Amino acid sequence: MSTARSAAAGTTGPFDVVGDRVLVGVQVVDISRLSTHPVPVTTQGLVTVAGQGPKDSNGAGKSSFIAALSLLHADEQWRLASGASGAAELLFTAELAAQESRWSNVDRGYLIGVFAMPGATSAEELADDTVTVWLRINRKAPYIDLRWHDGLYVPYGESESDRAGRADEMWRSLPRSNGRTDFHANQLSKVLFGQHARCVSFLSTSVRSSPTANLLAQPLNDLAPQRIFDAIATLTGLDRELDHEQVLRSAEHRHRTTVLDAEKDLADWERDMAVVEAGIARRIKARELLDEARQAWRSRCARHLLDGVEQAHHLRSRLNTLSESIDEIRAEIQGVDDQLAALSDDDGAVRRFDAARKARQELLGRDRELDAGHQAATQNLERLTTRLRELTDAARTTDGRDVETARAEEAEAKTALEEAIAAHGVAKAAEAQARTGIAAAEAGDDVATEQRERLREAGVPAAALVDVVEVAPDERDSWEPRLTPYRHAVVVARADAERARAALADLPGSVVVMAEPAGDEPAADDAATADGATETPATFDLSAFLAAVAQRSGEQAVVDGEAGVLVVGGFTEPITGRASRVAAAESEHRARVAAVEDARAALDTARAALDTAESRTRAARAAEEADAVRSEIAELREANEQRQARRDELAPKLAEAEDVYARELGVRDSRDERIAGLRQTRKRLEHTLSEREAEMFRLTEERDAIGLLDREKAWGDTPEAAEQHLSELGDEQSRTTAEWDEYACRLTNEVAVGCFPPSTPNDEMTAELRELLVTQNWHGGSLETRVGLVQPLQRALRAHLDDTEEHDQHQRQQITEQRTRRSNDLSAARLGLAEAEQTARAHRTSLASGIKAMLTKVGAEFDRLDQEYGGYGAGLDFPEPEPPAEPDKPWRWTVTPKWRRAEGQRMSAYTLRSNTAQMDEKAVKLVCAAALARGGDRPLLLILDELGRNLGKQHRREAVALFERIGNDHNITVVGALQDDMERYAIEASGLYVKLRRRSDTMAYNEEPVIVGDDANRARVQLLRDWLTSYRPGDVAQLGG
Amino acid sequence: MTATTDGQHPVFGPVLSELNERHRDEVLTAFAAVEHGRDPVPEAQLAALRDATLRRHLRRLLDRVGRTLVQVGNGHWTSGYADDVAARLSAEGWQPLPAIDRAVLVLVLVHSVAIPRSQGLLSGDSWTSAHPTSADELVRYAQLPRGEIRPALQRLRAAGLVQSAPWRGRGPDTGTAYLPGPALNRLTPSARQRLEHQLILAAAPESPLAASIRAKQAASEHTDGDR
Repeated sequence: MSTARSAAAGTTGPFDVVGDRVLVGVQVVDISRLSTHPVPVTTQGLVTVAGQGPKDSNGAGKSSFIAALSLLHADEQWRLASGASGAAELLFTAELAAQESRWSNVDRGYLIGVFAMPGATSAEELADDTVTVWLRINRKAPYIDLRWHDGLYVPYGESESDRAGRADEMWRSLPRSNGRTDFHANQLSKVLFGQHARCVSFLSTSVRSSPTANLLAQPLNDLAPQRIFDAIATLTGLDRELDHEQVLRSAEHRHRTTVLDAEKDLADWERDMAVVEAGIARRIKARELLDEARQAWRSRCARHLLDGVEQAHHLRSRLNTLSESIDEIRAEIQGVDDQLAALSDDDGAVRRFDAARKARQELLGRDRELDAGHQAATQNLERLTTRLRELTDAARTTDGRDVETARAEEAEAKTALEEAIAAHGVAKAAEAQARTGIAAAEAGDDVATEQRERLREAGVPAAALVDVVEVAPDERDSWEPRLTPYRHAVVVARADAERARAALADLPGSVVVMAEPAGDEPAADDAATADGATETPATFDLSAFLAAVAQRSGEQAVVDGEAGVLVVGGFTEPITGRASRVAAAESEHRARVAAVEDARAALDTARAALDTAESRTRAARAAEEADAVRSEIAELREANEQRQARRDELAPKLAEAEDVYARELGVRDSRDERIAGLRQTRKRLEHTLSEREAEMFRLTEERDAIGLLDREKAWGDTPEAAEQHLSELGDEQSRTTAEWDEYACRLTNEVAVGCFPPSTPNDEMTAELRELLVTQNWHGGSLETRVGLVQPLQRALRAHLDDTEEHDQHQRQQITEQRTRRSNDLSAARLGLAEAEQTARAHRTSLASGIKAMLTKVGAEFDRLDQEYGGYGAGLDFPEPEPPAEPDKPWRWTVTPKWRRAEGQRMSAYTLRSNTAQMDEKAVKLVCAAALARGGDRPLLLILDELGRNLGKQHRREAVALFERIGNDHNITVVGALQDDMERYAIEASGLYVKLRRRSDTMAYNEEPVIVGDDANRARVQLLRDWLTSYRPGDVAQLGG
Repeated sequence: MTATTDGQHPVFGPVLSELNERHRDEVLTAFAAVEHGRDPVPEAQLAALRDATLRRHLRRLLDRVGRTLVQVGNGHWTSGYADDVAARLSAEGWQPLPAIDRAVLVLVLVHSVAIPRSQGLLSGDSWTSAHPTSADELVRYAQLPRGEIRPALQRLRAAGLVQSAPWRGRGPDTGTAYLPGPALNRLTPSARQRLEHQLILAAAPESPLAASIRAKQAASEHTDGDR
């Protein structure tokens, strides 16, 4: 069928290939586990698809089958614009079929739809106007390739493998749809159906690729009003109108962008040009100013020259005056020098002064010498006088003796003293002996001491005889002589006599008296006493001895009459008994002490005599010395008197010398003073001279600095001409040079600033100007610096301004031209925008009324359908939205469905909560209403997986009936997949019943489906089935022929 | 892309939910094309680039990830970093290229774009060019370590910042030559302008052009300060 293709071929290639045809048959190859048998499809009314899997209805591929139908009708849910990648999931996958051990995955499958005119009732009519659409589904992108064939062109064969095996070859023999390639998913809707919506589907989760809503895919109240409008617009074809509006707005937007760009461009350009124009304007002004500045400078040069002339004249007269004054000062200095020389050369005065000074000093020396001698003598005299006084005092104790006599007396006294000392010593020794005697008597050690010591050592008891015997005082005269020969005897016991003799063997002369053993007879006392000599109460009994002695004694002094021994008695002290012996010793000691006292007195007397003699000797010597000192004092006094006389002689000479000296000194000082005064004067004069000379130098310099020649050169004429020029100036002639300088500098600076504003980068200036303005620091320099630069700067600026003049003119012209042109461009763009806006607005206005009309129509149909099929009336709310503020903002319409919940109630919006069944019912009615409102020329396919999923028994029956009736009444085909329990409601209501079958899980593919038409359709189903299976390639040749 | 439980993408969801099925697909397709395509995409190929309304949506989508739509020439589009995002990234020190790579890139740009443009051979403000820069020339005249230039060129090429020039029309003796790469198309107009200004300021700081650029920069800083 080439008409549809050629209709749009002129513009964008094939378009709306299927057109008004409806699907009459479908055949799939390697799609899920569906078999390759052709399935005839009826139009209008309800088509139910049931399944018989190994256990229940599941697993027979119902969902895949209806998904294939929706893909064949280019349902947008497949995301066709992005390539419909979800379609690949329809391909046979071994793992999903649990057949991976026997079969491998396929990487492409075919979906073949046969579209014919709905009115065709015979095989010939069908064949006349048929188009067979092949969709090849690929595992990888592009997921869908589209080809088609005019007339019937389906895989054929007796067995599954025949049909499946031919598919690839038949595909290859089809021509490529899009020149060198095939059309893909994104072109599917356009090429096949001319962008008309032919299908609204609710696909179950396994193949549903997008959660994005359409009216059937989601509960109605989950959808936003805007979404509902989108859905209705798609169904009614309004979307294309809206797309057109969007295209117009795009154009408007493009124009607006152009205008904005042009405006921005112009603004940028104007900003840039403003800078350029400002520069040009500044330079024009600068040119005018420059002339004025040059005039000012010329006048300044004239004034400067005249000033110089005057100044030079003045300086000259001052220099002359100075020169004269310098000469005068020089003459004065000469006079002072002469006086100084005269004073400094006076030798006679110097000599006189020296002689006077020398004479005075000599006399002074002599006087001082005499004075010193006198002083020394006086001191000596004082010392000697003191000494004399001391000596005189010492000489007073001589007692009239001279030195000789005194010395003789002293020697005598010494001898007497020595003798006294010796006598004293003898007396002291005697006294000591007597004291020893006392001690011995007291200790009993005065008789036979040695013997008793020996006996004690030998352990023999012994005692002195005199101690043992005591004599009564009246018997002393008779007994003392008798005992005298035994005075030194010791008494021992008779038993000890032998031991005593042995102990005393080496002491010859020892006398031992043997005594009787004592102690037993105290009556012995009586015996002794009877005789007058008694023993001491001791241990010895001497009664035998005493009796023998008494017996031998005779008369008077005869003690031994027989032997004739006589002993003289008369002892002053008793010789027997210890007490009597101690008394005798003490008496002797007393006599010795008295002798010592006498000797000491004699000694003291001798010492006093010696002292006296010695002091007399010393006094005699002092008297001799005092005489010597006295004579020395006399000598010294005489010498002093002589010296004093000599000094007195000297005094008048000295006074004279002092007078001479004082006079000469005065003369000298006054001369020195005069010389200093003269020197001072000279210095002052020299200073004045140098000042004058410096002044002269300065004035000379000043005169030279005026630079009259340069000034004349700058002026360029004679001073007379300058005077002439200034006199012509009027008021300005009173200006001083400084005022002229400032004026000229200010004008020149204005010109410079006009040419180069302060912020100008240095690189923009010419080298000459850069040198003057930047390097020489014109802007920051002092007035003096600037004055020096004025002339060259004016010259350089003149050159610069002349150079730029032509260029400036050219640029101004250019700017004017450009401005006109750009403004024109902008206004043209604005015009375009206005037109585009107008177009878009006009289109929008008409489109708005069109949309409103269409929505009104949909609302009416919705109401009608609702009331017709068990509702209480429904409608739509669709406020017209404001046109978008920006052309690229969407123009957003909304639709709010509403319906009555009960008879006579007000309509309430769909968002009000309601039961799901009611929502689904209204959604189906709305979809149908939209389809009907479009005009009914295009058939519509409603695809519902899990038909009546939420409905109760009664509702299910009603829903199925509703679909059947709506489908039959209008040009709508409802395809529904059924659950098992729906089957019995469905079979009676559906026009076509398709049952997909697979008995066992071990089968990879389904068996041949059962396809049954109801009474009205049975014949047509049979016709279609026969026609579809009858295809053989030869037919193509026949048909093509 | 991960989806949240209510089926919306956290970043793109708010933009995409306003669109219907078809427009959504078109916008996403264009998004992928401009983001991942090596070269700018002709608007004739994609409705979302052609249509101003969809382009607005696409721009919003890119904006969510800090990118923006960049028009290249007439009717071609690509994406690049938005100016403010780029400014912030560079302020935070984000710099994927080492110094040597940047130096080599600048040399290629100078040879292939700046010099031909100053000779009047190139017009417009694009940074792409058909004037190849010979690698030998780079190695011979650049004051860069020689051994590092070729690796840097390879890295730049991988990043799309340079591309090797086609052999067509060149003499037999010339070695490998490079052109600025397609990634430079991703520069926004202001980025292109900034780059050009930088190059002028670096290459001819004394030119009147540089003076006017400096004046403009000072003026814009001034107005920024006023604000």
